[in-house]
Amino acid sequence: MTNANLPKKLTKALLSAAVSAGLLLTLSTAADAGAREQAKRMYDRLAGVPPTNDELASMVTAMSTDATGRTAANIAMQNPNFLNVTVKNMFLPMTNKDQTVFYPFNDAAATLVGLVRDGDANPPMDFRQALYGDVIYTGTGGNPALPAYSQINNDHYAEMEKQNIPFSTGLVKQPSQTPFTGVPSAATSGVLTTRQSARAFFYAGTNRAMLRFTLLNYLCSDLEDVKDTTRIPDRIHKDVSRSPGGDSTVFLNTCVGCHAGMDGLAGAYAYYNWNYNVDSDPEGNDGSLTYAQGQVQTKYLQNNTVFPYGYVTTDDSWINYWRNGLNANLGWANNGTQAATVGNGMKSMNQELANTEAFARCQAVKVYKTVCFNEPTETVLGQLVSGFKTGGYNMKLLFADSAFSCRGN
Amino acid sequence: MIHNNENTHMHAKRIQWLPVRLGWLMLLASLTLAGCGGGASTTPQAVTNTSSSGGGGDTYAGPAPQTQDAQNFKTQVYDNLRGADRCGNCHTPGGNAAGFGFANRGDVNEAYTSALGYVDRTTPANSRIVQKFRTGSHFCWLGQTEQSACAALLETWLTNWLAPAGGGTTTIILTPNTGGNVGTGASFPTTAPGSYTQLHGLLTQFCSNCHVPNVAQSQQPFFAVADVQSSYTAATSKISLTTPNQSRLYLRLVQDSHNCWNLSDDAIAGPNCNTGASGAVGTIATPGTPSSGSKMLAAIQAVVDSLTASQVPVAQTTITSRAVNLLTDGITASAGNRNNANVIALYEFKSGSGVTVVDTSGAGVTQSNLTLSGTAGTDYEWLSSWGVRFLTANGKAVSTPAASRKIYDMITATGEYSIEAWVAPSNIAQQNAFIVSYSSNATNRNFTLGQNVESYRFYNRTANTAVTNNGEPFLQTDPNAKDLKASLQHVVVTYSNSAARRRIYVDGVYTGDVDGTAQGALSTWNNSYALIFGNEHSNNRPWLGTLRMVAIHNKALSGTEIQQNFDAGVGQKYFLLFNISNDGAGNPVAGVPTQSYIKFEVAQYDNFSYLFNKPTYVNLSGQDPSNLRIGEIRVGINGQEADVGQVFAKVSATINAPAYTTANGQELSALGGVLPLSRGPSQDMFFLSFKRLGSGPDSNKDYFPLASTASIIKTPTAASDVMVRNFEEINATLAALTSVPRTTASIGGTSGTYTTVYQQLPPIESINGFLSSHQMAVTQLAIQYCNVLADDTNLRTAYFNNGVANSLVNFGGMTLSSASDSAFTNRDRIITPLLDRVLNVSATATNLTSQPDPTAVRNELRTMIGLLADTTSCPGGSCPAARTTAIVKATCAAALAGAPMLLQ
Repeated sequence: MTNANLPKKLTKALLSAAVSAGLLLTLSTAADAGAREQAKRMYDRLAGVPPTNDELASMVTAMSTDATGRTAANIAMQNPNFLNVTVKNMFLPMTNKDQTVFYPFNDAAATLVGLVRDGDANPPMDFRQALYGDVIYTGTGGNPALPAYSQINNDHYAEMEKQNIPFSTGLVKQPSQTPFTGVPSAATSGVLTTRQSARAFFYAGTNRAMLRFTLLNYLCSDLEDVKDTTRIPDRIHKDVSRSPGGDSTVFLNTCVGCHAGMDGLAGAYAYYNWNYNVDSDPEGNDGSLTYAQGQVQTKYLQNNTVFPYGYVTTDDSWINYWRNGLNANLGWANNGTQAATVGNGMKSMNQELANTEAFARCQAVKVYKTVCFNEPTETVLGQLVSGFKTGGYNMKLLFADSAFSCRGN
Repeated sequence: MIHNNENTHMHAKRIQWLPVRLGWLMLLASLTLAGCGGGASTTPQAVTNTSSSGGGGDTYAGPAPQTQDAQNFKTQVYDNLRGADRCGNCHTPGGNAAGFGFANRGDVNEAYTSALGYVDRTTPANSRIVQKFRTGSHFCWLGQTEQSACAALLETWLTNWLAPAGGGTTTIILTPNTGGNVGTGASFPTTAPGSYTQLHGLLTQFCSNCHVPNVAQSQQPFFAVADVQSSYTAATSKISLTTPNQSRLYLRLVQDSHNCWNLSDDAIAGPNCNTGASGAVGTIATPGTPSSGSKMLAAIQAVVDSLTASQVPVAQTTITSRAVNLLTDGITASAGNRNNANVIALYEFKSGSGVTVVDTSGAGVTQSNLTLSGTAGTDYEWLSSWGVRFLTANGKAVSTPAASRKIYDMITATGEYSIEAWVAPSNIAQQNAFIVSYSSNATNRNFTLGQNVESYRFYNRTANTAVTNNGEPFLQTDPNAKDLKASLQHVVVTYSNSAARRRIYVDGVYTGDVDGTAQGALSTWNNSYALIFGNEHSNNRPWLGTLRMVAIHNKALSGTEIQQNFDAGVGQKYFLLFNISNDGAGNPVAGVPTQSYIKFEVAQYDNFSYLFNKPTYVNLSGQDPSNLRIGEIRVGINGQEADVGQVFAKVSATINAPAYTTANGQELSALGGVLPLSRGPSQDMFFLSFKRLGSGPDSNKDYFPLASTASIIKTPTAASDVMVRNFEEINATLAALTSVPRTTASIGGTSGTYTTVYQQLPPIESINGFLSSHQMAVTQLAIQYCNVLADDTNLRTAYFNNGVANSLVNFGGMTLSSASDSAFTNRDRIITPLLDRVLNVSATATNLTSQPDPTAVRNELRTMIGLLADTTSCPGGSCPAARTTAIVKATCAAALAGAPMLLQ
């Protein structure tokens, strides 16, 4: 029997009942919550599904013995849907330019989920590895068996999602990205050098998108937030007009605010590109990540007559002009009086970003919003960040602490 | 003589200098003079050796020029001035100004001798006979209000005479300037001064809806935060200490009408930017008069006044060079090596005022001048950096058929031509916008260079019958290539009646767009048309943007020639020498040899900025420096280092051989950058400041203060405490509550219900975004889960009967094949397993207060089953057996598809 075969009258009746149940509920949610209600909420929000009565009882007991709530939260996090639903959907929007959650599971999301899962594994996974580690997670099992990882398609992960393979056991941490993505170990940079990240952020353009979305996704700051016109503009490429539409005030008051810092950092991506056939595959769906050591991608040199006196990228060096000025507030590690830090390549640049206070705060805010659907107060945020950092950047602690924090009164 | 190989961006020429006792000579030799053969020349199209082009109507019958230079003078200058309706009216024997006989109508040699006394061979623009127009109200044959146009024209003729093509060199004397004192300058203290209170009050009161970190429409800079120090740190770069009315905080109000506010002390309803007693929007407000702008300016002025009251000589706070002015101290570096051999009309927009756009080509018997139409300042504006900007659809420059006739004559004679222009389109959205046309209206033309979104278009009329009178089909650059940018670009379109046909070049490069129309002669051109810039004669093809130069050639320029003209650039450029041997107070700088300079290539970039390019250390005294340290160069304007645009602030060099050579000096940076214009090129005094220079200690000025930590930390925003499950959580929850795997084909399969409706389910948890359509999808999915559960024997047995199968088809022991009314005698056998899971009803625990009262829900479901199981509702009072299953599914779905499952 299909849905269509249900008598219309029945459908109408059950809708009515559903609505009635909803109305009844509104009367009871405002009441103060007891331990059982708190446990239920924690479970709901961590696993995305309701607990069984047995699990609920176990959590109530755990909350009475562990005042931090972490033991109780761990019970909820044992549910496969914690990883397969809650965590996956928190990360999926971070793996595509449209920032949509309705996006196929992929190697970037898998690696992020794996880093959460193994936050308390042996050895524990430091979530900062998401930005600079030589790390990738692939799938295992499946019936039929999963297709092998491919540099030119996402079938491996799409099938994993289709079969709803539990990530608790079906995700395997690989020793290195290199056999999978082809990127040399020294050039790997966490999930940002996975196929999906490259497909999303190294596609066409000038690679600046990679920096913008790294800021958005991992520092919770868009370019507008970090705009500072007083930074030294010597790294701005030739492709940026200094007089858009014949009006240089636009450049001097707007463009330079982002480009001065951004172009300085985005030099780190100079050897990366998303390689695809622009004629047969204009969207780049079947492309692959390429890395050419020592060879600046031509996209860095295009439109070089727009401002012929601009910077010419000659290597993958980067410079961080945001350590000072307004963006010192991002909380750079070991920030002293130096004007700027410098380095070469994506790994070191992303280490610079991952070690900011903003990175830790961003993860805390994201997790808190995922499990509490709200933003933390400054006090709660401080506690979350502190626990996160002292716990070795273990994301599970953030989930547990956040869920416990908003468990209700 | 010492040669160097410096190849400048400006003019692609070699620069040479040699020491002399009284000064230094810089010889500008054409780098490609040998290579620019093949017709390359800086001399315009040869003109007839008569004076008819200069007006007056008669033919020169005096003695022949005695020298080659006199011959050049005659060709380039004299013939243009000799006419009785021009200089020849007065500056000739018997005239009112016979004593200044440079236009002696009867003797070119006399005129030549006289002219030598009034020209500046190094910088023709500085020639007395040019300056006469610039500084006074001298007779101008173009009209008394067109002094600038006459000056520009005369300057061009003199330049053509004095900068000959084909192997000649122009000697430019580099006078080693001593520069002036930098003087005093205010600077922002690290801590907010007390005078900032007034401004902070305005900012926090009127700007805090956006310019703070923790609002939805948060916008940098965060100068409206409550913390005074954080606000001050963010605001300083938006305040001009030297010209307060150029402060960005003020200009945003009065120029851009940016979120002005209501005032209680004006007579205007609504926001008042600057429309009070002080005048119209865009004008400088008078502090004290009621308007948002005036109040902002007054608050800025208070800060500036307090800081300037305690200002000290800049040289005391940092290491500086001497100060110089662009126009006074700059050394003209233009006269780029353009290929003008076949130019028949040239517009350089040098006038800077008036309504005449002068054709300075000197070609032909007439000048194809254009007249600007519209209101100056509103519909068009002159650029002091040479150019005209069309601001509205009313701005255009129009010629007449008679004045344009030479273009017809000279192009149809050769059958080929090029339109060359330096343009800066205002935007990349305008369509069918005509930049340069020779036409009569929107449907009839000889040629047009136009813009359509991000493409250049080229219309050309030919005798080919496939081509319309409108020059269509047009050739355009590939829209996907986006060759047109809202930035200064060099665009050339060429046509020849050959296989090459139409071509478009952008920034010196052929775009590769192939003309799909066959070649044709230009015999169908119409000589009654007129040249027009910025629109069509019918006023329905407006183009907004800046024209910096337009040249029309009666030759299809080659790719090499076009590249040459692109390399030559556009606009007036200077070498600016900053004396670093002495500091801004005149004191010698330790460890820096005398006559040490940092040479910049400088130009006014547009009406708002300067371009500083390629700093190079040079020494003009012959003393080669040794281990001269130069670090972190910043450009200062009028006593204040610019807040933005300090491209050279990372320069760090030690001047030494072999990087340094006596001939070339040592380049410090290959980069260039734009710096904001302050008071204008005639008044702005530039200086350089350094972190380190020579052998002295580094400047201790802190250029990298850390901002206050309070400024960008976002504070949380509260949202509802109750949310709905999102799409996949709903799916997983239904799977958990029914025990049906979500991978079941009818649910998660290719055409399964979840696959079909998942994007119709709530994408996020926010309850504010929950729609009725979401509820429909939830219901649909729940029904499918219940459907699978009820139809699968194993699942339903486990679910409803604790795994004990006691009949063929059973739901808790009910026989479903019987009449439905009797099947539901004990309805709780269906309801209880559902509620245990959905509401977490447990015999060993109290009911959840966060869920509905189980008894109430149970009663609702019982009632629903009773209604559905009533056989009287079935036809003939008898329900089919399948109805029993349907009722179970409905009960299941009613329990699952509601808020108890959905909310979390």
